[in-house]
Formats: sequence, C-alpha cells, structure tokens
Amino acid sequence: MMVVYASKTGNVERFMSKLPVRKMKITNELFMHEPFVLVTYTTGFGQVPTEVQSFLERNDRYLRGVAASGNQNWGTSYGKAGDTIAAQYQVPIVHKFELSGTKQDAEKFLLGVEQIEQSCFQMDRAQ
Amino acid sequence: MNKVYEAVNWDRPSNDYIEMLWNQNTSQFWLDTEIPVSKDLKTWDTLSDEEKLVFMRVLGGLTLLDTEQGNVGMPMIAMHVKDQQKKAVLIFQAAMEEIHAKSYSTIFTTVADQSKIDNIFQWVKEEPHLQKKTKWIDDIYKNIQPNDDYSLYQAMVASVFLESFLFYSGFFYPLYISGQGKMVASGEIIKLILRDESVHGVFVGLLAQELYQSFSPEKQQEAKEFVYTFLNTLYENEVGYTETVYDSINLTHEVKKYVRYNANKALMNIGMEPHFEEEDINPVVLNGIRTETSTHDFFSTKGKGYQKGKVEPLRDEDFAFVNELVEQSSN
Ligand SMILES: Cc1cc2nc3c(=O)[nH]c(=O)nc-3n(C[C@H](O)[C@H](O)[C@H](O)COP(=O)(O)O)c2cc1C
Repeated sequence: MMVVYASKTGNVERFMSKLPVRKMKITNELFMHEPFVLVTYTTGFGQVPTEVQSFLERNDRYLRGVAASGNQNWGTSYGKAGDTIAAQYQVPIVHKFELSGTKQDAEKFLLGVEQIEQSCFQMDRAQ
Repeated sequence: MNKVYEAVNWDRPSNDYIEMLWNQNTSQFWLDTEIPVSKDLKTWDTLSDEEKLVFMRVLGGLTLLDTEQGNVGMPMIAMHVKDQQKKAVLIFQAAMEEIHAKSYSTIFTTVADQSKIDNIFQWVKEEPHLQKKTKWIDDIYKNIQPNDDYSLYQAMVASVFLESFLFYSGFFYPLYISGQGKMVASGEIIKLILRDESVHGVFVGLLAQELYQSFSPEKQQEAKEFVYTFLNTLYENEVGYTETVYDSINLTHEVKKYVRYNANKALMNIGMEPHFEEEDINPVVLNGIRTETSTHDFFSTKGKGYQKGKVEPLRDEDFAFVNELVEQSSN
C-alpha cells in the first residue's frame, strides 16, 4: 500500500524515513491512481493543513485510511487532523502519534496499514 | 563605509515556516488576568499542607526557569540569529515567557499570604537542583560567541531542553490536581503555558536543526555527543529535584516517568532520536491536559492568517464534562 504524507517541520518526514513502505510526499502536482494511506500533521488549533485539504479535494477517491502526528500538549485537539479527515471521508484512523513517533508508533502504524491492505484485498475479491 | 540598516520585510517570508510560527505564536497570546484564578480558592482549601507546599514549590521553580528564558535565553539567541523575521518571533516568545513568569505570581497572590510567598522565593534561591540547572543553562546562553554557529547551536539546544524537558517536573503537579477537578483555573494557566512552550520548542528546535545541517560530519558528531551528555547531566539533576519535591506526597515515581517522556520529546524537537524507553504516562495528568473549562476560551484566535476550526462545530454535549468540573470546583 502506498503511503502519502505531509510534513512541515520535519517530524512526519522522520517518522516516514524509518518505515519500510512505498511513500510519497504531498505536492501540488501529486495525483493518485492507486489506493493509499495518508499521514498528516496537525496544525493551528486542531486543524488539517491547507496543503492536505486541497490534496484530498483532488485525491479522495483512493484514500483508504489516515494517520496523524500531533502533540498531546494541545489537549483535545491532539492529532485532530486525523479525526477530521476520518470523519469527512469515512476512512479508518490508522494511528495517532506524537512528533516523529516512537518504535511502538511505527509498529502500530505498519500493523494498521496491513489490516487496511487485507480488507481492500477482500473487497476486491468480493466484487 | 557606512553600515546599512535593513528593515524587517514580511512581504518576503525568509522560509516556508516562519509565517506559520509567527501566526501560531500571536494567535496563542493570552494574559494571566484573563483567567479567574480566584475560583480556585475553594479547592485550595481541600489540599493538605504537604500538597499546598508541593504546589507552591513547583510554581516557584517554574518561575525561575521562565525568568531565565524571558530575560536571558530568548533575547540572547535573538541577538545572535541573523534573520530579522526569526528575531521577531524569538522576541515575541521572550515576551510570552515574561507573561508566564508573572502568571505564577498571580496564582500565588490569590492563594497565599505574603510571608508564605516570600518563603517560596527564598526556597528557590536555596534549592540546589534549581540553582544548578539554571546556572548550567545560563552559562551556555552567555557563552554564545559572535559569528560562531556552534556556540549558538548549544544555546538553542539548551533552550529546547529548558522549555520541552525541564519544565515538566513542575508542570506535573498542577496538571495532576486539575485532572482531579482541583485548582482548574490554575490548571488552565499551566495548559496555556504548555501550549506556548510546545510552539517555542518547535521553533527553536528548527533553528537548531538548520545549524546542525550546516556542520561538517565531525562537528555533527561533536554536537550529538554534547546533546546526549547534557541531556543525561540534566536528567540526573531532575531526578534529585523530583525526589526533593515529590517524596512527601509519594508521586516521585510518576513524575520521573513524565520527565523521561518529555526528555524524549525535547530530543525529537531538535531532530534527534529518543533516549529513554517508552513508558505510559500518568492518566490523571493526561486528563488534566485534556480537560477544558469555560474559564478561558481555548478556541479563541487573534490575528489574521488563521481560521477558526470550521470542520466540526462544537456541541453543547462537548462541554458537559467541563461544566461538571467547574461546578465541582466552585462548590
Ligand atoms: C503551528 C503549530 C500548530 C500546531 N497545532 C497542533 C494541534 O492543534 N494539535 C496537535 O496535536 N499538534 C499540533 N502541533 C504539533 C504538530 O502537529 C507536531 O509537531 C507534528 O509532529 C508536526 O509534524 P511535521 O514536523 O511533519 O510538520 C502544532 C505545531 C505547530 C508548529
């Protein structure tokens, strides 16, 4: 499964660099033609970054799941970009983690992606 | 040749994150006088003498660190950073540190009499761990040499350690009791400070990472060694501070976990790998951070370039827990 990510201050980028997955960073020109999981950071007061919003407006068709980085010091807005996207696009939230994530975060994320992959595969077979 | 003086030109952002950090910092602006601390008087009386002493001591310690950061750390780093916009953000952050330092006194003045407050400020002057950590950090700030990126880098690391790591032995207690519905207005102040420090940690951490990237591989190795050695020195001292303050109320073990967790986050802010094993942090403290009260409009934003959350409107139910807490604390 392809993982597409956004990173402003480098944390998500460092999280991704530790993962053995196919990955791409969001740009204005990026158009997706295959299923993917999104990893975003949270900005403002619990907001989805604008670059991620406009990417999803163009590319929601193949979105299969979302993970979010944040910082628990933002209280109830912790990693809220993930919750917002999950609700808006009706996809599961794979994982929430702080800053560049820990080893456990990486494991949990990979497990979540694997589960999504399996359920996509089953859906394909059922069709 | 005459020196040419340049004005800060915000029409040309000097990098892709500076406006975001200026906007976030200014949107988060708050004043201690906006928080109705007097509401806490009722729950203050339910604390034991030991608990009151711990509460006052940790605020005293935090005041010292915010004083150092506002009077020395931020201005010294701002003086040596070259970019005008970066300077502007640092000086705004320095001003917030002064508001933080003052806000603890707002709490003191509400709950204690002058002689008790004087005792706390005296304790701060005599407590060896507090004095030691402030001296170590202060020495690094004052050692910044003109046009020397390495000493500036060290100061930035010290600044991130102070704001993302050393504060947390102090933050623990007010969060721990506000997580139980006590001293919730003071807890609100602490949460506002926590959020500011988190943004400061990101910004100064980014500046440190930029300098690190410019170093030769040998210099990077030296920098890395400095980071972990200094972290361990500070951690040993935090252990002693934590025991001194928290042994009387049996929270030492929990506080140390919280300190290690935040040390890891401080490392992440400067782009380095976590040092301590992952541990669960105290759920009551997390509850304290997550609790929202109606004492301050947490969602309010000031300044341009920043929109109010538009995706998910707040519902009355969202505040049920909050109302309950406020009610409990004013009964
Ligand atoms: C301007 C700013 C606003 C932030 N707002 C939030 C927030 O509302 N909720 C949250 O969980 N984290 C918040 N954070 C923390 C970031 O989401 C976190 O540092 C994340 O790891 C950044 O990812 P990146 O480095 O890949 O950009 C904020 C950070 C910054 C700098």
